[in-house]
Amino acid sequence: MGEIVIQNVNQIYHSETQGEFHALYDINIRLEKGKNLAIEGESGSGKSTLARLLIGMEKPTSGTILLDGEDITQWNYRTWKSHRKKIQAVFQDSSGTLNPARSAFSNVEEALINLTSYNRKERKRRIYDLMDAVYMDHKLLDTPVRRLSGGEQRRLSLLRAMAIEPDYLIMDEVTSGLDLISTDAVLTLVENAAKLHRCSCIFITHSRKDAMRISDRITIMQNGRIVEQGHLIK
Amino acid sequence: MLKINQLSVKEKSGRFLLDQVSIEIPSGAIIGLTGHSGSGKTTLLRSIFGMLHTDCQIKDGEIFMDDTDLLCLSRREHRGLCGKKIGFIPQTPMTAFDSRLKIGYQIQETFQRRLQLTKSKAIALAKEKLDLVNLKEKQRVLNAYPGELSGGMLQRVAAAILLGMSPDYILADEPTAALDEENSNLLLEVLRTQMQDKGILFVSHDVGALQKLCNNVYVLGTGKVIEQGNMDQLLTKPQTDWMKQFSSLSRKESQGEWEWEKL
Repeated sequence: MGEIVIQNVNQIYHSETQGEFHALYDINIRLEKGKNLAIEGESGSGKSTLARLLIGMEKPTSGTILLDGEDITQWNYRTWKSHRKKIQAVFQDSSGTLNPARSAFSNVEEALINLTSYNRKERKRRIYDLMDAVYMDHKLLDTPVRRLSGGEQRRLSLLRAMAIEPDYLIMDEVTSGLDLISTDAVLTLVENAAKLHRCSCIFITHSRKDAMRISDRITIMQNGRIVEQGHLIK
Repeated sequence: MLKINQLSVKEKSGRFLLDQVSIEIPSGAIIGLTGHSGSGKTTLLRSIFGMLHTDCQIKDGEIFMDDTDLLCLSRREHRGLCGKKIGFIPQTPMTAFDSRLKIGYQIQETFQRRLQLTKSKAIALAKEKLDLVNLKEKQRVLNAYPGELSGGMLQRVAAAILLGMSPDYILADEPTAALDEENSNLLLEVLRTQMQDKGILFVSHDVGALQKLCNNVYVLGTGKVIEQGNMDQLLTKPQTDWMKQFSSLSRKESQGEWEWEKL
């Protein structure tokens, strides 16, 4: 059975100006496939660092991260590339993940061309369906990304990650700054993805309400440590 | 008073991003602005700052700051007022700072240039204001590059700069979006108590914050003001479909029972 297992992960940064900074202390988390986990914590508690480790943007100072039994901390660029369909991430600042000069459609389609075997017609259908799910007007698909608002860009980057139906999805503050209606659409999309494709989500958030809505477990972090855990009992 | 009168902004493609929008922000008041993403909130703020994208154009209207029509000023004069007279708290603090320069240098340079302070006075002022926004590790923050701080911390640095500059009007673009509850409450408290004499336009989706801070809230929908009033009123007697949906979602409670354990 698939799962993500984070074992004794530490992350220490060294910088000329700051000296040594311990961002994560002995983190242990297990997430079974089909379940959703929320990570809550104040600014600077290490939530985003953990997200970066999970998709290989950084390697931990020590510890292992097993993705379906394989230690991703040992993967090189080539191995990551071949596993991109397995795990996807959406970050707080979505401007870095989209090409501002290209249209919204071509940004999403590119991911589908690279990571799925859908033909052109199927790709178009999939993109249109997802646009409806997050209450985005189809007209926006022809608009260059730079002309979209912050909230529209955020929903588009989530839509791009979800379009390829990954096994695991890391979402770093995807609902912060969205209005209640867009937040509701995004959370419904995540709930459906979990039900339909058994996609597991790690949902990093400040909102307890959003965390409780889509996850089975909530982990609370403080100064790089896990300090509290909550389980949904019924 | 900062007064936006019948402002219309058009994109090259012909689409109106703002259509006859009128908003008044009196000194000493916090005015709320909410609306769906893409409704024109950020375009409105960009218009006030004179920082519209090159493919957008102001077609009609006026923006008066006290007795000055900002739209009649040269680009240089307009930019000169930003920071000094009108301050800004950004939505994405990561892009508001120069990633190559230390935070301390960026604050100090701003205070030295804009407030004509000496280096030591600028640093002292920076430390004093960082304290007010609950950034207690002042030396670490000042020595850090923007990439070494979290989004929430950068948001509070931006608020600290603003407190130091003390402009007459403040445009806050979803300032609490990247903050946890504790820091968000703290920032709201700073806005409410330290900036009592300013006119603040508070752009947010946070129902609690809009209720707590603002007497009057404008709701934008595809470039137009669709509703206006006290937040409680807007929630209890919504007039438009969007506001009705917004109001029902704001009342939705989380379901399920949770068991908690401390580690």
